[in-house]
Amino acid sequence: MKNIVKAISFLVILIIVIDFVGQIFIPRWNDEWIATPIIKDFYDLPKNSLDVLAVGSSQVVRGFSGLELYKNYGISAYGIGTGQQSIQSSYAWIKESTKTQNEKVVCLEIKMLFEDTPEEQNRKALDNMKFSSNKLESIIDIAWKEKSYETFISYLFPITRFHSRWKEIGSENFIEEIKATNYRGYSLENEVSGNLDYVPVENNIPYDAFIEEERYECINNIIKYCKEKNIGLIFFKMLDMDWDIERHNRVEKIAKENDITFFDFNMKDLMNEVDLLYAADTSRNNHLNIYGAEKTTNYLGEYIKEHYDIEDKRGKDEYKHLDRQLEQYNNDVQNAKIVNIFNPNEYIEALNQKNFTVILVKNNLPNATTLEYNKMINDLGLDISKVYKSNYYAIIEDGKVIAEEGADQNIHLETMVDTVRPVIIDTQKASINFEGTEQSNFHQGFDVLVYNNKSNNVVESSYINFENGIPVIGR
Amino acid sequence: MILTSSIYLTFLVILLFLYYIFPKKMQWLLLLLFSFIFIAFSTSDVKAYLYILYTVLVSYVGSNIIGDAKNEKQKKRIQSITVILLFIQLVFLKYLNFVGSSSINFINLFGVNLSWTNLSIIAPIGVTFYTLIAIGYVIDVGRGVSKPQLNILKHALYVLYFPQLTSGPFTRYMDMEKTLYSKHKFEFKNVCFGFQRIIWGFFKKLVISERMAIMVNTVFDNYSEFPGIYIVIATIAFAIQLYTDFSGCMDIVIGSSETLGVTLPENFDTPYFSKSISEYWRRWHITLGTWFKDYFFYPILKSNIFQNLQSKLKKVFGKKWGKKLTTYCGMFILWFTVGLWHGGATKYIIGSGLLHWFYIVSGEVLEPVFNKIVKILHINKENFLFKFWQIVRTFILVCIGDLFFRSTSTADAINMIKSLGVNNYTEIFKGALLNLGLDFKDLAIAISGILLLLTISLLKQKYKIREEIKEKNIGYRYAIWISLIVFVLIFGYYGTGYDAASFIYQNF
Repeated sequence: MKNIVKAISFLVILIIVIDFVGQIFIPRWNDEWIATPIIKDFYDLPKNSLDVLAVGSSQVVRGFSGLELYKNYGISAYGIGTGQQSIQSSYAWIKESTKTQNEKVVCLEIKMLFEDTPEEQNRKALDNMKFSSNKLESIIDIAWKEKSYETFISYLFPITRFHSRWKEIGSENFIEEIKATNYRGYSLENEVSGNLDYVPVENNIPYDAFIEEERYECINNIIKYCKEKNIGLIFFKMLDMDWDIERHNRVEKIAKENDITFFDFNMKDLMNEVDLLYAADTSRNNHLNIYGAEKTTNYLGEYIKEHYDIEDKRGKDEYKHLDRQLEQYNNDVQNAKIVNIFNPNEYIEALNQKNFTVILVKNNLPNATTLEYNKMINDLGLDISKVYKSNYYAIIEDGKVIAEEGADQNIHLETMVDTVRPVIIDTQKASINFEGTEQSNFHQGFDVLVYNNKSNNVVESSYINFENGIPVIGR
Repeated sequence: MILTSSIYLTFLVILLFLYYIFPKKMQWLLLLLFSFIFIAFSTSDVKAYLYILYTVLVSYVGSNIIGDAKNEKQKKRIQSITVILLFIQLVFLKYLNFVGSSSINFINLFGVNLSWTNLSIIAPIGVTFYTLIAIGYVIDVGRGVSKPQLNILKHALYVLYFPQLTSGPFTRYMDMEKTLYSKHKFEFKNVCFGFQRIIWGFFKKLVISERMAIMVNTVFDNYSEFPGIYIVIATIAFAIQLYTDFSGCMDIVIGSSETLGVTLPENFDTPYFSKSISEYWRRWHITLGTWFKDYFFYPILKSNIFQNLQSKLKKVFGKKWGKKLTTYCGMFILWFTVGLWHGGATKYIIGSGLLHWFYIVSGEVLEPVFNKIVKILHINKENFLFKFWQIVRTFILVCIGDLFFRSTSTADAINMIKSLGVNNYTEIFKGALLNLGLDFKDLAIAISGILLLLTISLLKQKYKIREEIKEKNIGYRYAIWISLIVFVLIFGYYGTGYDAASFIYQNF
């Protein structure tokens, strides 16, 4: 008996040590696809605090913005999506979530019903999942498919998979350097693809695409599981260049058979309804950008609010953490969006937003009397008599001019912005030196620096010039 | 089944669990079943099972007929037929291409123009090991040293006992029957010690041997680009690779068997601490040496041909030298065969065979001269430095043999020895070690591993390491073994990102 206790205690300590070392060796997937933060933050969610869970591939990471649902509908939502996340892993995450959450709705992104998941992506979905029967089941599925016992062991003890990284192990494996923020499973992207090659899917072919047996079985298991748990299930598919009508038909068939709502945002009619445009609403890597994510998520939110009885969580004490996250999210969205604005009126409106400190320096700009010129000066709240001087600068904070000076000779100003940020302005050189770094574009017109005093970062440096009296925004 | 794989460890754990809850009387049957499973995991060709069945049946039937034989003459005849039948299959499976091509080349010397196309024959795992074990058993039965096993399943277990299938050791029936078929109670110490030994084997193979292999392959595969110092480094690295590979494998094999309460004979006894080649062969691949001595060398010396030869030589060279010269002739055949056993190529016959014959014979012949030199120079043979010199000298001689063993061909080996003349030896101080495929960090791990191995080997001369550790407090013990396991898990060459090769001797 004594020996059995000794053997068991040795094995327990050994497994704890191996698991601990394995955790150090698992790569930190902290890039813009935030695979590691998504999972780590998920486990930090307060118990029973979720209304909606979105699961699926990277399309969820870039297309489902949970905080939009909170902002506009008071729904608490979270997205668990990793690159090419297999439908089996999504199933595991649905089950894992129901252990601590009592979500009313699961939104399942169904792209991966038709695609294989490579090993490195399976790792992202599973290696940070806590050990449980769900994880074990997924591991067995993968190992069974690969017919590899070594694969099984490598998921069970990640050290056996990642030990070859021992030369790379450094402080970053202990202090996590996160390159993009996780907004409840959403990673913000403001790039605009401008791609005009996309053709919306039309319902013109009656054929179905093939679904591999294991995946078909898995989607049926998901449907069954959600029914058993009384969780509403919604299928959705984000804008995707590679999507086609055959795949749509197949998913729609499953959805109809099981009385499930399916939103395919690639369908022409739905695209028109949601006002989606591939060129404007996606980034260059075939994923939605912030504009697309806002539209699709809010569309889903509208539907969920209408069809499910979900209490509005806004203003409730136990959801204060969501308010804090939303504040940061709004701020970051604001920063992200301004850099894409080229319409002068929209840009002036954006510059006047809360949280922005805007520094303008006049640079070799001839005085004009056009309506557009006067409107811009007026909208920004500037004093035209000062603007007409050959040397001019203005500082606008939260939409209000807090400092402004016009003179015939050079103006050299050393001041502080946001209390502690030193700024040196030199109107003759059109220089805006912010914290020791030159930020001016030195372009004719008004050189502009936009600083966000909430997130404490320089958002952009741009210029506003006038060509034939018409304002032009440049960067 | 690869012994360093997780599948093997799982196989062993499942076996152990069943083994100790199984009725004690039937434990051996479970071992047989798991030996078949082990073979099934290693062999996909159905024909391989027929070869295995052939060996089991021939040795079983042969040994039982010998046991029933009425007189010595009949015994000898049946024994010879059985050994030949077993040997023929071994030649067919392992040496057919060598024998065929060599024969054709020989015939072609007489102006005939024949050619030989190599046949693709998939031999079962451990064929040379279990065939030689079966041959030894048949001879022992013939000599009356062992009684024939009447139960064919028990006999099959002796021949096919899974731990010895990968690389031996060569067991003797009279030793194994005491332990293999007996009842084994769960002994915590056996299981602990067995696994400790397995971990140590993993350490040797995955941490040291696989790293040495990279340096060795870099030089031996492109030796013309790596002359002089690089040949020296690579040859020493190969000696370390070969030892850590083979003895690591033996640690896993013997450790596995130890967990089951079945004691297998040791195959290594820190051979690189040997002071002469003869001693080296008493400490390297011990059971192979014993097998060849018992079942090959002594029978040759006792054969009529050699007895007649000895009489004739005694007449010409006198009693002492007549006997010695006969022994040297017998040793020549012995070492030729040992070399041949390692592989059907001249590089093996030289590197693992005849070169060692030359070392031993010349050492014996020149012994009086050496003794005289030692006397003239007033060298104290018991002096540490002299002993150290003897160890270094033996290691260098072994390394020369290893150079033949590892090189692609005899011609390449000779070219490599010639290139030792290139004077680039100062490059050792300019980072020569870092030019051979291992970066600084890997090299540091390899050297640390070798130093740890050396330390343990030195301590082993005085202490029983595992026993010593066992006496320490629980925290100390756990720390040692867990550290070693984690060290192997992190720094071992296995899994994705690495391509750990199979054991070198597994192919023999």
